[in-house]
Amino acid sequence: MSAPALLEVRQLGRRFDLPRSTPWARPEGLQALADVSLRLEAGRSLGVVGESGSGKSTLARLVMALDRPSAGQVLFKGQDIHALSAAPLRALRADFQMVFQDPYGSLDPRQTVAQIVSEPLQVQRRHSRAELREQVQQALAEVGLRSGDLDKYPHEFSGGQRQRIAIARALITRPALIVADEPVSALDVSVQAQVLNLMMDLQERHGLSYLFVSHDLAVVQVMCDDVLVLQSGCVVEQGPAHQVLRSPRHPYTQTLLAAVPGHNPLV
Amino acid sequence: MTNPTPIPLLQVQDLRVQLPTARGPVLALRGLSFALAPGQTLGVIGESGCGKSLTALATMGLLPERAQVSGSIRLNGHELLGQDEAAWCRVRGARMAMVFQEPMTALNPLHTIAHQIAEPLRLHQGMNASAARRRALDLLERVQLPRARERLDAYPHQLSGGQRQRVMIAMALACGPDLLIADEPTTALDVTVQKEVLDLMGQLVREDGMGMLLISHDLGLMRERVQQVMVMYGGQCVEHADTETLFAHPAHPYTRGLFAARPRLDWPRGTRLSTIAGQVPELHDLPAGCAFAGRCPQAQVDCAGQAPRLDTLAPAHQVRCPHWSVA
Repeated sequence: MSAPALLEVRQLGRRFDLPRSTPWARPEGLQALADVSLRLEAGRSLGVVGESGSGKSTLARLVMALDRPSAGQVLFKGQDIHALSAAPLRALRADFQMVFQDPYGSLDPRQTVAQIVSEPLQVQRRHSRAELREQVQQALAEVGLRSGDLDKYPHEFSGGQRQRIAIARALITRPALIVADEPVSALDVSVQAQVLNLMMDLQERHGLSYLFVSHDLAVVQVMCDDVLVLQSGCVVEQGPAHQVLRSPRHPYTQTLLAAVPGHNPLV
Repeated sequence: MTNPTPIPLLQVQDLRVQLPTARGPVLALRGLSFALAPGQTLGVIGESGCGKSLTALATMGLLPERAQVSGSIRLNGHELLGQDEAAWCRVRGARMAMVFQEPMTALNPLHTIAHQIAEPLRLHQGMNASAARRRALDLLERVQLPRARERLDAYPHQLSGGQRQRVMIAMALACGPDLLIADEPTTALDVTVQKEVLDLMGQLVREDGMGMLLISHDLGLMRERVQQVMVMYGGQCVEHADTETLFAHPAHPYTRGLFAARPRLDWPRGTRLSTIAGQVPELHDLPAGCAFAGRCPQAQVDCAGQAPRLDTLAPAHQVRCPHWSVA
């Protein structure tokens, strides 16, 4: 038998109950994700594309064990994370971390950079204060921030720098997988380029894997080895990024590509 | 007899806006000039803080009260700056209208769609309630809102993002304005919905001969949607050209840097993107010379000292950089 993949998702489904129309009616359901399977090997990147409501973020939350599936499994290094009890799951969390879309909303404005970045380590309760500070300095250096920034607050930073802080927070536990949900969508063009380059450098340096959720197909093209296209919770196309994005088979992928401004599919 | 040059629909000259801040007054727009003819579309590109939204707000007379404005903004030859609020109110929503970025916050959650579209009609055209309601339905059908009749009495939260943006456009079009200003109208929308909304706006501009000022940071979108582009940096226009020229021969180092930073679908995996060093300078400490000099790969000794003028390279191509070059 082959070694387990870093991340394997099997027939994953998530159904949400909608409010009942009348108290005696059966609740209507919304199938946010249905029968999604994927495999992500160490050191590689998988892009997840689709429109809002297609289930991209639901998938990211299930992979992060921030939500429970109604069907299927998420295997991280061969372990079903939704079958783990709280303590072993917390220990395993050090190995998969998340970067969110909004660098303004995802950092606590009342914590210093040192507190924000060290939090994933503090949860583990294995490090002294001096060790924590040392690790934070290393993580900040990795993302191109200075140790002088340790005691500053998020409002003192630009959007791009805040996203670097969020990446440092994800890196500090030395995870094997980072789930990034639209990590550059809120940033200006020139800042997007800096953050994407940083993420590619970190991947090469540490052999990280990314599950990269994005609506920007050109960004997925340079960031990802493989891509998965979601429509209404279902996978409609899946494969190597250069193949799916250059010669899409499914009409929905073709529609997404045709809608990219400035992109002429004939060129 | 000489043929007089036609009066532009919108003419902005040497527009300066000074805003009070905690760290003292800052000059957020520093001498902006441009013109827009009826039926034409002008795109404004730039990153956060370059002054593009402020340009829209100044044109609509929606600046904060303590802002100091100088220069000239003429709509159909009529000076708007310096007029009182009552005069602004007669123009705003009637002769010119705006579509905002965030359709959820720009619509009032407490009023129905019909009420909000009817408001400018009742205010500017004195329509009675039933006539305004009929007109609101026409407008919703014109912006192709599905099931328009049922949606008249819906509240904003009952509509999707794309539908809300269609309602915003219907409101903006209600009184048949000459000038439509759209500030990042599709940034909050999915690509396929974005395309539908932009197609719709383009069609309405063509049919009604409106002028449109489209503000966006999305370069790909500009390339397809506007005839002329103005690139802004540090509260100034740094390059202005017709769209084809700008994309084929960008001349300002900032424009070139912006274009180079965008990934492309035909690039291989792992391609490092070209970046612009440093950060946008704070308006408080803009350098004396060129605002971009500190980040510019082509900066020379004279750049820091003297503020560059807008030079004309070709009849329809201006650039604010003495060391410009074209690929």
